[in-house]
Amino acid sequence: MMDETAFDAFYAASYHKVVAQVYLTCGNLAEAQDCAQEAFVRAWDRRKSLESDRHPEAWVRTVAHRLSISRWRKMRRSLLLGDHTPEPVSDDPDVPQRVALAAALRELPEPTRHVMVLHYYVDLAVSDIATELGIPVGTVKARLSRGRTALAERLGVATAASASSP
Amino acid sequence: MPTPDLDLHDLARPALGVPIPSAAEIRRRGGVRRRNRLIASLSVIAAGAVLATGIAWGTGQFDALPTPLPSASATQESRPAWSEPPVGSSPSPGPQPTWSSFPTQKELGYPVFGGQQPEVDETGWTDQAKASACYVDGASLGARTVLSRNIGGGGEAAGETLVLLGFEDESAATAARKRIAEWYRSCGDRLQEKGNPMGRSEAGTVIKFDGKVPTGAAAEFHTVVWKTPKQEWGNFENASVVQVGNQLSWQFFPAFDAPDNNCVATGPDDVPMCEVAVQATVIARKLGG
Repeated sequence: MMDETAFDAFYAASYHKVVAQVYLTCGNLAEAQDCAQEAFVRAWDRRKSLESDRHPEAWVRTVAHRLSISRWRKMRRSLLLGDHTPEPVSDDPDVPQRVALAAALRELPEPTRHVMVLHYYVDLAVSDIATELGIPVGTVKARLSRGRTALAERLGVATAASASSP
Repeated sequence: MPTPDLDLHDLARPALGVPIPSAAEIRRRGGVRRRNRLIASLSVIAAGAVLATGIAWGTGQFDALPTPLPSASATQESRPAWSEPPVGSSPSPGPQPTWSSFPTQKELGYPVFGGQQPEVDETGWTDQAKASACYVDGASLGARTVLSRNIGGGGEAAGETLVLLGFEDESAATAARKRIAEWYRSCGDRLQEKGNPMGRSEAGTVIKFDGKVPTGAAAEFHTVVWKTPKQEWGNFENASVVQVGNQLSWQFFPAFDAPDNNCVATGPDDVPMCEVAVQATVIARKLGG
């Protein structure tokens, strides 16, 4: 079983990465923090099985992502806590390029955005994404391709990555 | 790997500066959650066992429920949850579910991690099949075949239970499906009578499948929530029932994990958990052979 020392080290090393990944996917920093915290709470709850997993961060990442897209959870939060006011994707209006990218990213279908974040932020290889999401490699490649094309169109630029396959 | 045009690291920068809650607080909340989950698991099993003896709830209201005859159930249903599948006329029993009719955990869309609890198979109306907080009387459904599998549970984890039921014919399966819907429709009131002032039910939400399924397949979703004044979040049970001809699946989650265990449905998301649409589709396909 993962002990307190091991968990604390794992938590300290992974927390911000998980928050960032969820933030890129859902566009709401408060929601991202909430989902990441809840995912780590569950990780401690499930520490017995988590220990034997070779990729505990992938487990937390998956749980946090699922929390962020849970319509049921949003309903429950709305019922019990009152709804959160959506926040802008970027809090830095002085960087138009970043704002534009954030807006373009948010317009992607959620599955595509998720794959883009795993590839371009978490730096997972295509095969690792396929394993983590339980989908074929071809599907990952297709989503990446569609995502890059869509971003390029929305940003009005030809991305370097859009010219190459994953 | 990232190109300058797709520098998501820069975009994520605000997230890297947020304060990090103390690990001790996260562990404390995890400990509370673990205890609550264990209590919920034990309580729903106990409730199911008590109900099975016919003495639970103490109201006797279920004595008045109609037996699962097609005609009685048809009058009991107050709203058209879905279009009725055609009633079969074959005198021989329809195909019965087998253990191979169960989808795998992976097929159901759950991530499979090392150390996950093994599935537990049981035959008949065992405590596992009765563990639902809304279970009333499985025997009255009149199923010829009852197979249940606990997925992702065992030990302290409640997991979810998937019960596959085979009936003589399609009309018997339809009656049983309506009977289960009535279990959930009345469940909130029964929970209130048991001292849970916030017990409430939502039953009969039609699940729109997330892909091709056998002709005539149909599915619906039920949920119940109950909460004592001292509880912060309360308890949830969610369930889906899928009918394919003379076979039914009844899937229920004594839920602490399940409500958030979502995927992304490609079809309309008309149920609280979009994963339900995907799972119902998988189950319908398996039942249809």
